[in-house]
Amino acid sequence: MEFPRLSSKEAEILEALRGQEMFGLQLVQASLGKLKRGTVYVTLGRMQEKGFVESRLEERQAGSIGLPRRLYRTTAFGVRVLDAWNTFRETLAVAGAR
Amino acid sequence: MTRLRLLPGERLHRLAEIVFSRRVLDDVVIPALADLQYEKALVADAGFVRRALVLGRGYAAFWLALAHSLAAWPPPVRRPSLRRSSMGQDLKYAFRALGKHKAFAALAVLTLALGIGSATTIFSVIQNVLFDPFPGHDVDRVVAFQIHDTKESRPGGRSSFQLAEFLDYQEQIQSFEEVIAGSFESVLYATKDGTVHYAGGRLSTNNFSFFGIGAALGRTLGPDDARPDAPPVFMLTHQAWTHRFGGDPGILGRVFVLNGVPTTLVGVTPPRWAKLGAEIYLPVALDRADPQLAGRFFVLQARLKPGVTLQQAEAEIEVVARRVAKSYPKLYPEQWKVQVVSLVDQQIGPFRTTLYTLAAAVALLLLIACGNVANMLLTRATSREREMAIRASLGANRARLVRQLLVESLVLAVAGAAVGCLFAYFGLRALVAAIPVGLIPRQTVIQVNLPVLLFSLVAAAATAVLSGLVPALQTARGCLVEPLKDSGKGTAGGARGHRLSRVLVAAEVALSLVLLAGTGLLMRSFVNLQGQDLGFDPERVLDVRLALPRGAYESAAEKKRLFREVLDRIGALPGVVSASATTSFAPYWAVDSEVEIAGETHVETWRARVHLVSEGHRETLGLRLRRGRFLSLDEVEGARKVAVVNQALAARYFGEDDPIGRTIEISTLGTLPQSPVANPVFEIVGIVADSKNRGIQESALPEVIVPHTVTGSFQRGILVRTSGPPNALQSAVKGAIWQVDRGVAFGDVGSLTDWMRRFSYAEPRLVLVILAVFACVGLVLVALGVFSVVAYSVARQTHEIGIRMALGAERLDVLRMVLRSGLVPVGVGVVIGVAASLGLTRVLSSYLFGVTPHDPATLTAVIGVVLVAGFAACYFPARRAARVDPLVALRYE
Repeated sequence: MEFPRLSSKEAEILEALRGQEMFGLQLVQASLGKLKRGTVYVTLGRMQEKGFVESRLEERQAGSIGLPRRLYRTTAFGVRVLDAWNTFRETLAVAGAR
Repeated sequence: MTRLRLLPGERLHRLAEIVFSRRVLDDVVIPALADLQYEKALVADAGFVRRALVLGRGYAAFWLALAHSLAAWPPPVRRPSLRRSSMGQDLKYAFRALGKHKAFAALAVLTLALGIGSATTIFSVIQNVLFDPFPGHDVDRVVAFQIHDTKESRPGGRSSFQLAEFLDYQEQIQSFEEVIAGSFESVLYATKDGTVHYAGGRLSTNNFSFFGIGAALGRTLGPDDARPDAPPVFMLTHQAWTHRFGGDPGILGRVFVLNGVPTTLVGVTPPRWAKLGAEIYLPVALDRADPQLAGRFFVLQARLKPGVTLQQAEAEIEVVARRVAKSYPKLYPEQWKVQVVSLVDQQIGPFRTTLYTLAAAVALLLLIACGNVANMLLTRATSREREMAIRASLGANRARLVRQLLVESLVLAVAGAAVGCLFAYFGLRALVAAIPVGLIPRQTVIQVNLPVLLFSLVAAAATAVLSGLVPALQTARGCLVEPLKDSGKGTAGGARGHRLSRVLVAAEVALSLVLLAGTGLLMRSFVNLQGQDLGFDPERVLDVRLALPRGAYESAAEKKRLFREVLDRIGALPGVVSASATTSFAPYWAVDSEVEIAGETHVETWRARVHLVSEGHRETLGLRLRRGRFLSLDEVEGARKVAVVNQALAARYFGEDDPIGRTIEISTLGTLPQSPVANPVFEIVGIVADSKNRGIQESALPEVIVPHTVTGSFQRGILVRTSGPPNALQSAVKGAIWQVDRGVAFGDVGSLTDWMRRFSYAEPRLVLVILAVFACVGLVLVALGVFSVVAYSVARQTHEIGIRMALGAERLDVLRMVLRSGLVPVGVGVVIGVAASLGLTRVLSSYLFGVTPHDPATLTAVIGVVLVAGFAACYFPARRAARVDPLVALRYE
């Protein structure tokens, strides 16, 4: 099986979503400029395809106007991939230091 | 999967699914839009600048997200050669290529943004006004019908019916599923500070259930509320609730004294409910036996049964109406027919044509913008022949090259759409503020919404194809060998491109000329409208509409006493020149009556407009007396049967005879249900010049002016001529009236010029301003187009110019040569444009006043403007060419 690839933006999103649900706009604001509004939805879409994150529509009160926003959260698989990548990077860093 | 339920209408939904792939919709469009809406709501109450910044950033991000998503997941177009990866490459390459030529990209985006922005603005109005003007279910099937007088040239007709007539229609028409009724009612609300007038409406209690609309607060009117023994209740409109009562929710259940009856407020309508233009709704049960309702007229609206078309309904109602008309012959004109109209048409009427005219104008502007960008792309394409030749020699086939160039124009168009949406957002605010009150239903909310954004996307795609396809084909067709040689001179492809540029310039000039001709005609028409002789002087006249307490002032004597005292008090106010009472609303409305003249026989019906006025009317309105005299104080006080007629009546009904001293019978005054005039025959004592009496565009109808004291019927208003600004005297005049009776309420109060601006000048001015903006933008784009083509041609011909000058050509020869080459396409465009204008300006004929659609002076002026602009655009590059140093030019080799 091929080892799942994780880009820096995807890692950033998984870190931000660890243990909580967030909207796309919140993710952009929380990233302090690392994520852009123009690209975050495409990245999230790809991550859903890879199974790193999943999403649901926010619950709305009856009579609310406008579209419901989409809430994103990590999957167990996404967290494992993130942890694996973090471990891999740390290992490489330690090896490099030696 | 989320369905895009926000889109009204399956067609738009399908369109969205064609434009975007399913995953782009679900993963990008919907989440991005939802976040955008959320952000928009957050800053709804912020200042203009902050809102503009936040929304500008939000829209830009949305479009960028869309562009990225299209790169990541291309649209579901199935072509074997279009591989996802290559589409992504094309997009990346397009961004890079345009980034290297920022000025070019910025100018192209700005040009497209102007075109797409204008189109989006007008589409927003059309979408909201024509396709979503009313809330409620099955609005598409709601219709009204009108009795149209076929002798009347203007469209429309009577769409309200007397109670018994209404019930006859309701019982006999089979095409209707359900019928609702509404009737205007003036409501006086007595407060301790004075009496307040409300526009009111009596509604059959199924009105709210008919549209499937509930109350925003409290409850709606129900069948029980209309029972004779039910406690009196009413509903307020949302607008009246917020504007008059500050949106106080505690108001529900409060008792108001309306028309002298304690009435409980039971509900507030939703914001988008404005039936009959009323502020207050009272319930009514249509009972044939109710004497209070017998003479009242009700507006009839109904929902057609499923499957019944307008034509089928019209055919059936025509038969029923011929039967009903026999029972109420006085209510029907001599020749008439039934017209069934949709609810939208009934409310919007001729404004639909205005919107379509503006749509046509904006389409012309968009075409000019496309032509301009196509020209810019052509010019750029010629300089990229070498690059294309290299790509072709490395194996790219023609389809691949065309696609690459099309993707570039698509990127430009999407960026243009993004900026255009911003333009549309702000343009729409300005446009909505400029739309005169009453032209569109109050329920309509005009805003940029998802269908509008989709429209701008489709416009962008169409623009990309229109502006990019020809240059792309042109470039891809180019010769492979010549461009790869080192020579910087023109190639065959370049010459072809240049020819095409000139064709495009000619087309742009033609389109621009059509726009300018339309604008010129409207401008002349508007000047004529404002400059015409009205027959009276509307400057410095205050018009005060009064609502008298119900039950009081019903008789002629009571009204005479009230108005004498009121006019005396107003006349004594400082700043008042004169004042008069009148039953008419100059220059729009007056009582209409059949008239008879002793000793004259006629076959057709003779009619006249009847003004019931007091003695100061001539001075107050500024009427011009032609012969005889006007009504005197004694004649008004004594309710003498004397009359003054206008020149139109004298000419039409007396011919060569002298009307003064003859008599005229005003039939309507003798048959009034309340306070009829016995033997309504009046002696003519004077003749006044014609003054407008059915709107300012129509010629004056015959009219007759009589003392208002002959009857107690009809509501009256007061006209006050002032020495200063009339509106400054509003409170003083109101105070003088309340000194006589505090129970009198005020309807509309304002200067005559205000009314005329609102009712007669606002719509033509709106159309004129919009067309003028489009025409100016179009002209600038055309000038830019001509300039770019000539400048590019000069740049390419520098070498040739150098040779000519080295061989003895004078600077003037060069100037002439370049000017000629630039002005030829302009001249061709002018010829085509003039021919097109002659055909197309005919659609404006309904807006024109005192000028024909083929007015030679306007057309000549427009041709002059286009030629001057074309000349200026050619002159500067031509002057540069004439200053070419032959030595430098020859070094181009």
